[in-house]
Amino acid sequence: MTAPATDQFVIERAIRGDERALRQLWTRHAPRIDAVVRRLAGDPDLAADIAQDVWMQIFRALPSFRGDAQFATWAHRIAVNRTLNALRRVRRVEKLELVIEDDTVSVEMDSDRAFLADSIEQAMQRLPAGARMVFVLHDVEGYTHEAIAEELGITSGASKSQLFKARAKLRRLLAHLVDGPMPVSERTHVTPES
Amino acid sequence: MSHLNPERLAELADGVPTDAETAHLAQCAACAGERQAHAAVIELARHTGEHALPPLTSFEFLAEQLRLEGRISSGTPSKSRFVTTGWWMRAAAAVLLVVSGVAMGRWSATEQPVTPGAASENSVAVPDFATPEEARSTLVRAEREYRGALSWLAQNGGDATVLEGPDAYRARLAVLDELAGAARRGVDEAPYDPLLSQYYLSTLAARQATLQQLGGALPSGVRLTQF
Repeated sequence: MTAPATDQFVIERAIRGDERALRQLWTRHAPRIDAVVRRLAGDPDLAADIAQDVWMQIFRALPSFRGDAQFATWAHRIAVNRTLNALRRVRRVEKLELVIEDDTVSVEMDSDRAFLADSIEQAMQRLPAGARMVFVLHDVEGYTHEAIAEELGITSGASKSQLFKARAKLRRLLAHLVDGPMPVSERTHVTPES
Repeated sequence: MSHLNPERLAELADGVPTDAETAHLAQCAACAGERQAHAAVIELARHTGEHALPPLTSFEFLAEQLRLEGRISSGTPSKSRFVTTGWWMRAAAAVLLVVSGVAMGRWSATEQPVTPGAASENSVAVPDFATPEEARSTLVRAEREYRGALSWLAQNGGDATVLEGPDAYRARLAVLDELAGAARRGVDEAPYDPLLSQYYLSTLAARQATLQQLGGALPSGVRLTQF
């Protein structure tokens, strides 16, 4: 797949140092880059620092972009890698054991998109760092458990375990948004024999 | 009825149930609903967020860094239509900067001297125009106000101390450079427009005069090499 003509034209100008082209790339792709950085980082201040680093890296690496992939995919990959590296640097990936807390978050139904997004971001921030990263990489970014295991230095089994715990906790934290049929606290859970 | 474990239901959001689980899900609305709720959470996380929250970065800040690294070329000429309309907006903005600079200098004459730093802070607030027509009309209005302000200053205190001295001259040079840049791009786009040529030449003349003033305002023994 090749980069769309419009992106390619803008990229060529951006490589030559055209400020308007650089701004166009930033305007067009920042929302998606921000979303993945924000979700992986958890902490908003940390996310802002990382996003700045990510964009500088994207701009610096522009001459190496060969156009054999979409710019969005290429930039997104840089964003994920830089974010994971940054998180490693600040020692946020020290411990991947998930401690599920019995806390809840007050989320009210609201059709406002920003409120919805904010609710999800807040819920994700309440996940332990390791579980959040696994959830974002697998369920949002589409990574396989094997790729996640390689990125985070864990086993694919640990990645799966983290993912299912993260999903379960998010489901509780976002109960009011997804409106489950029965309060979780009122249910008895046992795994049936296979 | 025994329900499925929550983590197993989370796994089944995109996983394949065993035969026993399939049979259970077919009979148990609660577990089937929970499975759907888990899938809904994933969908929400996947498709909500972009464009909904404020940006994490500011392009202006990034551009500043890129400029320091020499990755943004200054004054890259372009012949696109976008630029043809864009210079009007920048020229209007530059004139507005001059007008606001003159006004601010006048108002703050007794408060504090104008510094180059203050001038660059002012230059960040470039107005945003919706159409070239709006920019052009602002340019004409600003030009009229600019001339009026200069005239007023000449008659009522053109020798105000705030407009004299090295700091004031440097601030003026910074603004004149912006104005000259915008005017030059205008002349490039419309070389036979007498008004634009006049603007450009006047700005250069004012810049030259300010440079000479700055040279004269510097302490004895200090030579002007850059500002």
